[in-house]
Amino acid sequence: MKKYWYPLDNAAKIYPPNTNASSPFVFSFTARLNEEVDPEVLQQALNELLLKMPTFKTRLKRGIFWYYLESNNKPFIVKPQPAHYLKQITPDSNNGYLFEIFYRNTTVTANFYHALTDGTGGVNFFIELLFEYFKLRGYAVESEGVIRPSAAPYVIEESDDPFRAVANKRGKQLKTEPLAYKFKGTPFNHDGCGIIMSSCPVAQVKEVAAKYGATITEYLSALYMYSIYVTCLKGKPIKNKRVNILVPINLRKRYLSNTVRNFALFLRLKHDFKTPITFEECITLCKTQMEEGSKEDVVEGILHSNVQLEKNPFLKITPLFLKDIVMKLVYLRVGENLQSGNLSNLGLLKTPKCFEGKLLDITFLIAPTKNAAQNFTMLGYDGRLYITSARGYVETRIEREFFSQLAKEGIDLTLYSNYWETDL
Amino acid sequence: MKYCKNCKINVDADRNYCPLCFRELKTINEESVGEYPFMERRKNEHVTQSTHLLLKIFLFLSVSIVSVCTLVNMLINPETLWCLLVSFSLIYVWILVAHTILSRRGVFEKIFMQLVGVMLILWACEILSLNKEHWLANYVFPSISIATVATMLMCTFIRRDKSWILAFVFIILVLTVASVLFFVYLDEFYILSIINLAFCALSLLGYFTFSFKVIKAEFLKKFHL
Repeated sequence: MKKYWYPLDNAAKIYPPNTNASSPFVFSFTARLNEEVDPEVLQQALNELLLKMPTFKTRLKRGIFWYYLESNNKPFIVKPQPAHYLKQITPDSNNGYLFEIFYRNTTVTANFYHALTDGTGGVNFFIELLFEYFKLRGYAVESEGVIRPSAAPYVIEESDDPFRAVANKRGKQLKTEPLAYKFKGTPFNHDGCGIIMSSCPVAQVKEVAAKYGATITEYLSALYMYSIYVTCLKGKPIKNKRVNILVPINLRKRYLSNTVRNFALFLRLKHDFKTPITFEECITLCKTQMEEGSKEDVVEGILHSNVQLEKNPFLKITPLFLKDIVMKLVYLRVGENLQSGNLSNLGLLKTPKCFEGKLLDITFLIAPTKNAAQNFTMLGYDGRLYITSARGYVETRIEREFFSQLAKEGIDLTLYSNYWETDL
Repeated sequence: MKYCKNCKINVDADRNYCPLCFRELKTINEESVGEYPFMERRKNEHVTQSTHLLLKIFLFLSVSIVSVCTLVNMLINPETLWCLLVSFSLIYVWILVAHTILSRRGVFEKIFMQLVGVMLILWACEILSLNKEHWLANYVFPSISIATVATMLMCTFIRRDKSWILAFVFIILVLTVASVLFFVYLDEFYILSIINLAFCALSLLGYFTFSFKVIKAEFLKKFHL
């Protein structure tokens, strides 16, 4: 088979030099089906899907100046799910592939390395995988305009780096910002992360958010920020630092892109809590910052800065081993140091109606990293909202405040945990 | 299903404590999704952090040996720098273990590093040698170079994956440049060196004639800006 290759997209370039066991930059989706998963069928479904989506049939390689993705002709192997599966995806994890597929009883889990794709790209791939799986299991499934039809050809736009295409010179330069507050906690005795998941009716959350005049993302972001203020800061400001919550915004709709690679920008919700604040004020703050951050000139500014850095002639001709060091410093300056935690809402998942009854629920997770040790993720499916928290330390004070507040608002919550703090 | 009075939240768990406040849960019914979202940790999946202790011991020993040898050499017999041989041998051992055996680098990158390592040791031997006939440049280097190029040519014919050709070309280019430098340095012409240079030049010509497209594609990929 002829080899093909893609340069890494603009957002992905920062990940390979900064990836290690404590910062794996991995996110995952777990789907619960109404039946025991057949690994052989899952394997077959995946093999067929990889032929349709060559961007995922790749491995990461080092060039002289940049990393790149090269076609991978080695077999992809689906595996039984280990307990700690949000760990770093290394070249020997799965024949060099940048994602992993696990199964266990009735669940299928897909893990993706962020250098390959972002949450939207990952979930689309995962839904297509489930579609192929159901089809091979003999169910009558139709794409219904949600899934790409099997006969549809692969189009090059899917593998494009959209950042370069949309960045222009209108953007403003970014200002230097104060450092972000970092969560402190007792590390686990073993590798892995603590996961707490909640399931609740999406209508209830929407209703509560509407009561505060906010969207679900704005409301939950404010709740996350306020939980940090109440539990970690105990109502006091932090000297020379502020709480920075990173909220990704999907740019596909805005720029009409079909890419399956990274195409999101991180909007930074920030506050220094120098004066006492109420929850209502926190919501107004988050709302204003989200509206401001989503404005065209701000988005263009960030896109422009990111692409300009990549286009810098000195950086371009710097050999990769030196660039790795530069990228580490850049990430330390504009990434890690300006980030307290992440909150990512992928929205309501669109699936064909034929999935009803077969796909029971689906959750989304982002692995905590050394510097963003607490992440909240949301995904809506079939009238329910799945809010998941992944943390890198034992204490659950932020989750306790977060979920307790939701319960106090009358939201009917059910919690699940992997009880990672328990020593076996 | 269980319930936490403190958090006022339903918890679906097989444990008897709340994941949020760590207080006792009250069972309200036997309904449970059971395995969801994630399962219990199995004992054999405990991952222990690698301490790299062995690596640290080797590093400490290497630095100590080199330091002691250099000191002794300088104090006792500074005319003969035998400490160079010890240093280069240790560098070679490091290349062998860390790069050739343990790393996940490509096979031809390993060949290249082996070449560099072996040449370093042999160079140290030649410096220490009483025989001033430049046996490294005249005999050993050309022999190793010819053997390397021949091996790579063989690999080109055997392997279906031609993406390594750019790496071959690079290694041959380095060997050619080294051969030319040896000529300049020695100001002598030995038959083995001439054969080596001719072999390298012809191999390069062959690669560019028959695999130009592959070399170009690989070059664009590896050197993309």
